[in-house]
Amino acid sequence: MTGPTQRPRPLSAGRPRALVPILAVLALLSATARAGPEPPAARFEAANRAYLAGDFEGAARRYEELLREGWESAPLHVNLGNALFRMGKRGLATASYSRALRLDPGDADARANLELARAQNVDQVVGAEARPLLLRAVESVRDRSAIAAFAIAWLCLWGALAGRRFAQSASHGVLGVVAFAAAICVVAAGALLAGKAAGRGTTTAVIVAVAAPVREGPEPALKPTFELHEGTEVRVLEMRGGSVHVRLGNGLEGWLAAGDLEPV
Amino acid sequence: MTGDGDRTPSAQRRAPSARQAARAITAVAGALFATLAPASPADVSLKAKVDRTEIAQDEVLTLEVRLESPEAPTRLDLPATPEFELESQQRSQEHDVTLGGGGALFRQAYVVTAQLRPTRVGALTIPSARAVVAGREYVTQPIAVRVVAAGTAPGGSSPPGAGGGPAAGGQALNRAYRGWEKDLVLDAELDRKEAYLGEQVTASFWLLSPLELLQCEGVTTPHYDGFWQEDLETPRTRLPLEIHTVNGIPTRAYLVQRVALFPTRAGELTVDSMELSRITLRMGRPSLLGAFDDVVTLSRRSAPVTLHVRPLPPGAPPGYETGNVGDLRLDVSVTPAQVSVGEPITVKVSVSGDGNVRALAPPRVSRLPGTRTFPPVTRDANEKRNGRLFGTRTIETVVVPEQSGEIVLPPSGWPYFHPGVGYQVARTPEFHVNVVPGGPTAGSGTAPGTNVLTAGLRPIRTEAALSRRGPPAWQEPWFSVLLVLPPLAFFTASAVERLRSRALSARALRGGARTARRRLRLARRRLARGDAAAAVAEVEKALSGFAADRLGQVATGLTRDSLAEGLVRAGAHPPAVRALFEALELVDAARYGAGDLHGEEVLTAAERALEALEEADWQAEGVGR
Repeated sequence: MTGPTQRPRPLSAGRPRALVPILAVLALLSATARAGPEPPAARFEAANRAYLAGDFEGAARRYEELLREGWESAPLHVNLGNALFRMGKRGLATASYSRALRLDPGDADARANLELARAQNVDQVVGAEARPLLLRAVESVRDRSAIAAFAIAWLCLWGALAGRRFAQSASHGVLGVVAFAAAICVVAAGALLAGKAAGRGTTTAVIVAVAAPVREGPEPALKPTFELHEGTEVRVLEMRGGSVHVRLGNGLEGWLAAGDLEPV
Repeated sequence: MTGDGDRTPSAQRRAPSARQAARAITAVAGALFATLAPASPADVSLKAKVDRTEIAQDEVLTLEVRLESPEAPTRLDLPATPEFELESQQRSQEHDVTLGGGGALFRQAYVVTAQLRPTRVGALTIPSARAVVAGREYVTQPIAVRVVAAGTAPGGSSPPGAGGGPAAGGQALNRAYRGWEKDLVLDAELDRKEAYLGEQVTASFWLLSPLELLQCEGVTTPHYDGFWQEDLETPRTRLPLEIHTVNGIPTRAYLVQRVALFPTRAGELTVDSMELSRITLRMGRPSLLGAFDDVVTLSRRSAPVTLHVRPLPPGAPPGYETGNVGDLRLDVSVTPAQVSVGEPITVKVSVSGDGNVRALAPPRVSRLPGTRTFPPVTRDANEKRNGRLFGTRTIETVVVPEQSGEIVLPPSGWPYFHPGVGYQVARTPEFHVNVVPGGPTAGSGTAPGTNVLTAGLRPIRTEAALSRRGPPAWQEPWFSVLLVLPPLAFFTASAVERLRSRALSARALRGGARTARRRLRLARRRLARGDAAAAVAEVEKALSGFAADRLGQVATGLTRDSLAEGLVRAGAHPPAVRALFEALELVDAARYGAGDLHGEEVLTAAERALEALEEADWQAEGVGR
């Protein structure tokens, strides 16, 4: 006697149904991943293409989006500066070139374009004092280079001290000289870093308005004493409400509307 | 007439030559005398005098108040003169030393001079002047002055114009000399008496001085109401000196300011007074013995000067704009002569010459069919030459053709007013620009709508290593680690090394001491057996071995001094070293001495020395310190 014949269950007969939602989720995730934001390098290239096609506004918008998202590099600022310059926004372009130089003081393109933009300034600051050589030297060194120089000198100093402490007495003299030289380098590199840190604390700005009236005080009701024009670089001393206290290179001071300035 | 105070001077002033010789010691001696000897009322005199007692109402009277005193006054006031208007006031100081039989007499004079203009006709009175010296008040007598109507100057008493001196009104150029102070004049001059509206007029302010000018401060410039003013020359530190001939007399002339003025309204315009409140002049050079210049500080005000401004004549050409006044030239350039569609053409219009360039309105490029015309950019450049203002106003307009063909800029005329000639019209020729088909060369960075001012702009970068913006590297945590880690590692390693060294040293000390004690026990056994010589030899081995262990070298053969020095260097206490040497002395005595061999005594001394040596910290000099 045989019992009812059991038909063999098709292999995985119930599993396809269970897999459907999983596959759907995976497909959705995959699609989402494909439609995600483009990598920044691709967006940078797209902005460059827009620039080369003459769409300076579109290029500037894309560059600015990258900056807003926290991406940064000297070429990015240079390209944005070029786009703004070609749009006729010379003040904003000047600020962009200055930012590029702050990131990379050796960027020749940023420096040349900044000089070109400055050459078209209406305001000629008469009696501006030449910047001290030391300050120029500090500004000509990149942050990374200064950090690397300090780190190397610091490690050499302590390495030489340790060697002198634990090595054979025969090499004490050499290691002492090395430690002394490293200590001098540490002081120099430390001063360089301090100068760069102090430079970060100084806010400079560029006039972006075609003509910005300058007053003796922050009150807008005051009669303007003189006028600054687009592209002129100033140092920000104080902000009060909607007014900014600025100083020109020759020491002339006054108050401007905050909207007339673009901080660097 | 003079109004003397209630005290008279007790000594006469010396001749100027003597004053100069004594000036060197005046400052020091005077201060000393003034400090040591308080001012006696007999040494103080206060006088007031006027240069005349009868004047016309339009004239100026000079009042001099002179206080002679060995001590500086705490107050010296001019009288309040309600019937006179104070035109100007100067203060000066003189020093005098008299050398006589009674010794040196130091004297100082404080002089206040005022120019007064009467406010009415009649018998007027100048009230008393007052001074306070050392707590005592000195008062002058009032001075009566008779004032007659203007234009009826009393004969023989009228001053000769005062050289346009302090606020000399309209008498600025009437420079008859009467005392050197009258010759110190602040003179305002215009290069013309009449000018057209908008025509350039140069105003110069000269300080004419008979003495060398040391310093000039407190400059109050005129307001130049009714003028557009451009600065030509305002010396900030040292006023440039020229020699001018005034009434045939060469006179020092210092330029205080020179400005270009452009009248903005017709009629009689007045350039206000300029005032110099502190003019410091050198009266004389310091003598060989002294280091102090004799200086005087005065103030001066220039007389207002008037300019007759004529309106522009009628008959201006059509299109004439107010402000286009001057000796001007118009230049127009259009570059390049051939472009592709979409490439920029620059139209540059320049107006240059003698005139107020900021007020000029050069012709502008109107919109051309088939092109995009961008807003023009205006640039001004000024040049100061030969006391005149020259300038150039340039207007650059960028035109971008949107179709091929020929662009024609038609000829145009630009009317302006030449003050010497009249109305003129500057003509520009016709310009043709050939526009050929073809797109912009985007790759080169030129594109439609390009601002031509960006010519020379370096191209964009195609590669950029983008990185996330963050704080500067010195604010990153790893930088703090970098700062802290090397010194921390160094000091940790040093501490470990020191501890290890101490442990090794202690272990070696214990090992050496055990060996030495074993030998001493052996020596005691030999002594008990009666072999004193062997016992003493064993004691010496124990002590020498311990010392050699501590020194790190064989101690045999070292002198006592060398051994002592070595042990102290190795960290042994001097008492322990002394105990060791006593024991070694006993060993030597027992071995080589002619007397009895006291083995027990040697052993005891050796054990005492060993204990003392063990108690030492054995920290070698310079290690771990």
